[in-house]
Amino acid sequence: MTIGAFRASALTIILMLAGITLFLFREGIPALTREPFEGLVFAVHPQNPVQKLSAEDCRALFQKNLEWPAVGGPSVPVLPIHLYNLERYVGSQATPEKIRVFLDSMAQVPGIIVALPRQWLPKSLRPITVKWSAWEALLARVRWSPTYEPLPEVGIWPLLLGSLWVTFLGLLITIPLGVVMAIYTAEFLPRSLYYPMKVLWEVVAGLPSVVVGFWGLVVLVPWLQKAFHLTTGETALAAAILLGWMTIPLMASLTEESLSNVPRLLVEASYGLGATTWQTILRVKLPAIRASLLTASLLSAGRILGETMIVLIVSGNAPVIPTSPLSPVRTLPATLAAELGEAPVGSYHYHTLFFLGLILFLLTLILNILAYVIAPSEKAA
Amino acid sequence: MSLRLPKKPRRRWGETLLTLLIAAISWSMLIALLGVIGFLVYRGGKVISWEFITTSMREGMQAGGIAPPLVGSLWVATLALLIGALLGTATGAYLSEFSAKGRLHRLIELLVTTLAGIPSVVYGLFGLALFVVAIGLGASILAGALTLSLLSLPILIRNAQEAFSGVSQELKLASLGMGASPAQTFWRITIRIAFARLITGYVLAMGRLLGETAPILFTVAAYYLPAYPHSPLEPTMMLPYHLYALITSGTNVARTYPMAFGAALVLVSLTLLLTIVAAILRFRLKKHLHV
Repeated sequence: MTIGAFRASALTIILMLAGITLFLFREGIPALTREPFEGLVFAVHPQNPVQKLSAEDCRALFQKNLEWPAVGGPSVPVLPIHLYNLERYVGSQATPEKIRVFLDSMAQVPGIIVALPRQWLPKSLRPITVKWSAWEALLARVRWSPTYEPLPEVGIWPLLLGSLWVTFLGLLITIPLGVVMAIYTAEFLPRSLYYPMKVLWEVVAGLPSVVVGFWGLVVLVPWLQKAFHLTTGETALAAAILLGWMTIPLMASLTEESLSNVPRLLVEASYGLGATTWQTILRVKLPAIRASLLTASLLSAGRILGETMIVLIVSGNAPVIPTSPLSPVRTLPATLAAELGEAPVGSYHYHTLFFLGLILFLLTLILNILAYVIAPSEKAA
Repeated sequence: MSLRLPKKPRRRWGETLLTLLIAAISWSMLIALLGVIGFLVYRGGKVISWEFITTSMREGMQAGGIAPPLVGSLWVATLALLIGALLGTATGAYLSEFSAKGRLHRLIELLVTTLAGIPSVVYGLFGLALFVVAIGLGASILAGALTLSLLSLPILIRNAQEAFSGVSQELKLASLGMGASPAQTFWRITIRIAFARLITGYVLAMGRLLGETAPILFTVAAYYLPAYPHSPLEPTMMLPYHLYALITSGTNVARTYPMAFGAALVLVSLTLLLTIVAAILRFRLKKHLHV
């Protein structure tokens, strides 16, 4: 009875990971299979020879960044009308009758292009097809503005590269400092201070990230701004410093553990040959734990990659491809936290965000499995 | 041929310097922590009062206290801990005491490690998709608590595993030798000795849960709801999200920032208190029981 219940609860762990995977795929895959303009019809003036538009051209027409002749249309100015700019023409109090009259009169303009629900479409306009390729939209574009109507920009590169950039910078802080603290704690720290040091790490690792982010915003960000003469201190660097700092305890405790597990034989052989403490550390102990150093680094990378609130608060949140530590960035988790609350459940935006979540999940999964695979090989040695 | 004695080893100044350097770096961690906490105490201390903790927000969020988000956080974290502790301890017991150490055991171990590495925001997505939308709980205390309990499972499982396997083998064997069944041994011997360590783990997990922000964003937290929840199916404000809201959406920074410092100080004090209580518990355990 007891044992059966315990086994059942252990099996729920398997269910749980399966559930997480299932739901991320279920909600994320529609970003690849659905179109953001479901329910809308694109249409042009009947005398306009254009039959088909690529998503990019169509978006540019709506943004008035492109003229009709460039896509084989007539030499007339573009008049884009879609659900969300209708209000600007007819006012927010317009009755359906008024909107219909307005649309019918606009349908006479030769340069018109509309994106409207079918029931609103003026009869005289001719529908055209807009080609939307999900892969292209997600992977070949470099802009992220998922709420742009009627054709959102959902290029994931700024976010993905933002995440990787912050993780890389954070690791530059975490790995060296973590290893240094591990060496100090394992080799030099008086035993009576060993436990307090561990508690210190625990406290730092356990600080609520939203509080650390707030501290960063009020103290670190203005300081960076002054130090580097920036227009804003909200940069990848600010996020990386805080994230790196918060992850040091993880790196340090993993490294410290493996340092103290180095076989005594090796250490004593080294001392026996006349090596000093530091020679033993640098030439015997560190090489002996290189596999677990890699494991610890991978786990730290996973931790930094997934941190949400700090980045959301201090990194400036601009979805641009980062070019220096001082550019503002936006990461995958920060995007999820910032936008998911506003994306209606089931909308294209919602599914795109789950697609980002899926990518984040797979990235951390790979890091963790790699770490798991590398780790035991050393215990055997 | 006479034996030549080695020269007296020279003092290696380079090494001493290196040691001092890494000592300085290591202790700078403490200085940084004190810097962060000291700053919050300095700025938040002025705001905190009994009234701040026990009354509701007023004038949007620009005045008054933080009682509703504080109560909401405690509700959600406690409920999450109850669920997580039940499931986590049972799983830990299974892994440590009852499972055949075969393929299934290794698979579950790998999964626990993997779950520990999944970012908390992904748990939030999962909680939204499963509890809020698919099951239809809506943004509610229950949905948030379930999400957070999943998040806390890996820590709680690890902790339970360590607690149970820390109980000395002799005691377990003696009980089995007296004719007790494995289940009896577990309930009468193992869990009683492991009890203090289990509690330590729960305290630590509670500290972590109180500070989590990302998973509650889409599953529980209301932006502004100055009332106390009456049932687990209602949404509630929560302290970390309230702090985030104060930081980012205040139009009048001069008035919202003091509130934010107060909220941050309360949040940090809670998590710090729990972490340190757990540390002291564990330290005393180590001294008393050499298990």
